[in-house]
Amino acid sequence: MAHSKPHTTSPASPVYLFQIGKGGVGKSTLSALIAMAHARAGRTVTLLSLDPAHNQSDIFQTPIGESPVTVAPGLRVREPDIDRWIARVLEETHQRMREHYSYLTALNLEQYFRVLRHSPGLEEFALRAAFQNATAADTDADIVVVDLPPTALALRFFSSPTLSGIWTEELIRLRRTIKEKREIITRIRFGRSERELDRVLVRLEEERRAYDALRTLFADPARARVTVVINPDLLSWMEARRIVTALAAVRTVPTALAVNKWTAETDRTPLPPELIAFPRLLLPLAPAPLIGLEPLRRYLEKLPIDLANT
Amino acid sequence: MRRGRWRRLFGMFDDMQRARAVDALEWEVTELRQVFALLLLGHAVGFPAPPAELTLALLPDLEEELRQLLTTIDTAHSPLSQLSSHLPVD
Repeated sequence: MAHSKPHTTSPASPVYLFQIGKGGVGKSTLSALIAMAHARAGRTVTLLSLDPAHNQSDIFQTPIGESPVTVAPGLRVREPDIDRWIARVLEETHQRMREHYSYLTALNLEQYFRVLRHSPGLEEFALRAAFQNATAADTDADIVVVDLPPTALALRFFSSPTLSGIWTEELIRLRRTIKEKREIITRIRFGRSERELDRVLVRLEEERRAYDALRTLFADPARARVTVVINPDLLSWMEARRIVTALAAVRTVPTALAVNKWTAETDRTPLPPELIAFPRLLLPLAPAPLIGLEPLRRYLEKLPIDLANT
Repeated sequence: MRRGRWRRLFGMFDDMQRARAVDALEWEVTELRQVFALLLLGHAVGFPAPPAELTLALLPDLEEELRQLLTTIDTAHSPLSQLSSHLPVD
């Protein structure tokens, strides 16, 4: 099994390991185990929990928040508060509005803004903001292990760059037409060409670059590896099938299927055809709860596979 | 003296032609900006909405579009009169 090695520094680009699956299948525990295995193999690891359940604090038995907490050599954990990220994004937008808008317009929009903060879609936006913030901060990480929230929100996390990208493309096209026509008006009216700076267009192009970067990352199995976590039960298998289908729609292909709480009985029931092709990580049912560093370490050492190779 | 008068006259004629040329174009730009505002802020008037994050990202720079949109809503009871005032409809 993996042994502690000196920690490497300054990688070119980290590898992201995402754990996705039905609520309660053991994504957080598996994320903690994978993160520990890589840290013990000498890599610098960030374990980022995007699950609002905040299980990493319980698993490592230490308070963890937005700022990284080092729980073992080479392993730091971050557990950002998604609601706080939503509040932060809204406050920043509100502040920019107050700066850019005339007093009366800003005042009239207060009510509209209060409604906007309850818009659907802000949760995955906040997830992504927290993800991008953590990865930008931990530039020395070789591996970023991401403990995702349950399926519905996690799938929106993967699909929203594609969806928002489509909207952004269309809005950019329309905005460019507006800009060109405004320039024609200036040329006719004043007899000279003047290139306008359209702040909306600039902003849209920034957003498009960010979405493109995420889409490219999610579709690159060399940089982003997605493990679908299941339990030996039909419900989690059915949900795993839906996950595989939904990820395929945004060109993300899982790299492994982790069967958590595996027993010899599990193999008697054949997996659905959609799941058979994936390499399987069999994680036997632990005799005792995997809470605290020592139980996690003991479990890793008894495991017949090396999770640092995932 | 006479040449100066002709130049002024020609200048006025040129201004008139330029104003006529841009009138329709300006109206088109206004409409396009309203379409843009509707796409982005349409949920305020019952249209399908883009992801909220896009609206949030662009909202601070959309004061003019918002004003146009609200004005259009205010004058929505007479859209034809608004249209005919911009197009050469007799």
